[in-house]
Amino acid sequence: MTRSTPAVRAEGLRKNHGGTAALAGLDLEVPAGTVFGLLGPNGAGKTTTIRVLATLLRPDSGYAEVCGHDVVRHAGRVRSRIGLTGQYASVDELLTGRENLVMFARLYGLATPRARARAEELLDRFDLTDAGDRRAGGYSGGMRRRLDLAVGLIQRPRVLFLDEPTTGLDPRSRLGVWGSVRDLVEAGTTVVLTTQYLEEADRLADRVAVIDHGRIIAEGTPDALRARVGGDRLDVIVREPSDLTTVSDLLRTALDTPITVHREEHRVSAAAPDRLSVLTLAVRALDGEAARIVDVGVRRPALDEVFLSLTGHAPTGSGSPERQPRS
Amino acid sequence: MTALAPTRTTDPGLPDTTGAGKTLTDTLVLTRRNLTHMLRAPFEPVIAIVMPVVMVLLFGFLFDEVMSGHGTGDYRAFLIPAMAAMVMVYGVAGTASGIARDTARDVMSRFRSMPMSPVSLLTARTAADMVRACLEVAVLIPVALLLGWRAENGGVDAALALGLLLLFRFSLVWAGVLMGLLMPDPDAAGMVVYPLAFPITLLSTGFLPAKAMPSWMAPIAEWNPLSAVISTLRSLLGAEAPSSDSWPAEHAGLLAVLIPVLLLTVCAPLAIRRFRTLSG
Repeated sequence: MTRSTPAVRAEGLRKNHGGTAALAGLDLEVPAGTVFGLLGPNGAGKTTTIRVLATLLRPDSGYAEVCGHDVVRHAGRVRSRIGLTGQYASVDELLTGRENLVMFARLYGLATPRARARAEELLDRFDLTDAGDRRAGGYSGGMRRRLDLAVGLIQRPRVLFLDEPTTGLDPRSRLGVWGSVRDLVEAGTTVVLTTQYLEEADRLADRVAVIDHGRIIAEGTPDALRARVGGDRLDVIVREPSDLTTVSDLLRTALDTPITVHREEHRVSAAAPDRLSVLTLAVRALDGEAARIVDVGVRRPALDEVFLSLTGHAPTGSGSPERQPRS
Repeated sequence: MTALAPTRTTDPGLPDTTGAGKTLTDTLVLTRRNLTHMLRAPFEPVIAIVMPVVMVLLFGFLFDEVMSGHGTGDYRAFLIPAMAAMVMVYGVAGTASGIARDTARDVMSRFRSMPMSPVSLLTARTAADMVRACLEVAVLIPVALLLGWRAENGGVDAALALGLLLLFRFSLVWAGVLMGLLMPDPDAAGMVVYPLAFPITLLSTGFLPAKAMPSWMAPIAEWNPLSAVISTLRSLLGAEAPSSDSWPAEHAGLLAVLIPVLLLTVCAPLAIRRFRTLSG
């Protein structure tokens, strides 16, 4: 693989499932050594994309390659260069963590002594040494995900696919998974991850593609995507609807950015391209009006808003941890 | 999480993913895993052997008196080949549920994303189940000795009986693999075997000689493939059985070999084809 070969390249991928298009002409290019986030709601086609790239699913049409190898014609070559892990990839529950790692290492083609050594290395890296002799079926959600990630790293993959790596995890375990992903990238692995959380894409990904109805509808750095939605904004929440006019008049005088009033939410908002100066000006203007105001703050748009502005519809089922119909 | 070294420094290279050698290694690795599963989740294998043994003991003591005079000689010795054949049949539940678990979507995704030979999932399942079959026979021998069986026809015939039993099981294992692939829900795949196995074992000449059955039922039992296996085992193991002049009874030895071979030639290719569509 030369430096210029992208880690992943896909052109016009299509896949139909029972009449509905899971992929409807998807194009993708992931430069080597980067973290690429596929962002979208349940059923948008994220998992289908990963399954095609990981050689698990044959596209109806289109072309995809990983490290320069065709995922259909040279599936074997692709398989010796990738790792797949995430919410649904699984480990053997009746085997211990150590036995899982040794077994999968053997299946990856490592001889027994090397498989054992690799298992110890990975148990240590993922803080599982103490739990190594316990059955994986008894692991907590976070430990299982770590074991799963460890299995995905056995053969030191060039490209690691993470399918919703933190869905259903508690915040602490989520931070742990994020830490491991960052370590991997520092070591040169290309990571392609799917997520429903903008925050996750924000923390990890160099570039993000928003996917909807089996197609990429926007691509760029997390900041660039956010900018397309209008960027950060100032929100002032008032106590009574009657306070809305007073507050919006005060803000309009103080700021030179557009002001919007959201009556049902008791909220007045203003675009805040410069977070600090808008906040300072607003607080000065509202000095003495404390009785009318519940909250003032500058916030970043959430995935729902990014999505709404890009697609014109709200993401269905975003953030729900239940399984999506896959294929 | 501790810091990690750069991952490229000790690239293990690209292992051979296709050859026969890799398939053999993968089969051994997965066979060991399947045997570990049996040890750690022994409920199903234990039930599959306890049930036929208990049934034969119950029949043997309940009907011993009634059955004398039907030409069965010692009824308990008469039942021993039936018990052995039954244990082989009931073991299919473990094969079917095991293969259904192996090919459940999430595990399959993991296996298929790896540079391993997928067909080794099938070969490892059959290998592990044949090891299990040998263990089952090892448990049955003392039970048979307690019931009064002795290798009266000598070691050669006893070895032939063992060989026939294992050939029969091998064909059933492939039938179980096919069943498990057709019903990819592990619980359903395991459960479906019992309602099938129960009438098949009882509607044979295993428990009653055909002569003692209602006339409409006798041909069903005589033509039941299991009967051919059981009668052949009886003659090899030296158990007395009433003679019958029906065609399947007269050619029991031939049928006992032909039936497993036929079952194998039908089930194994179908199972492999089904497996390829599942994983393709």
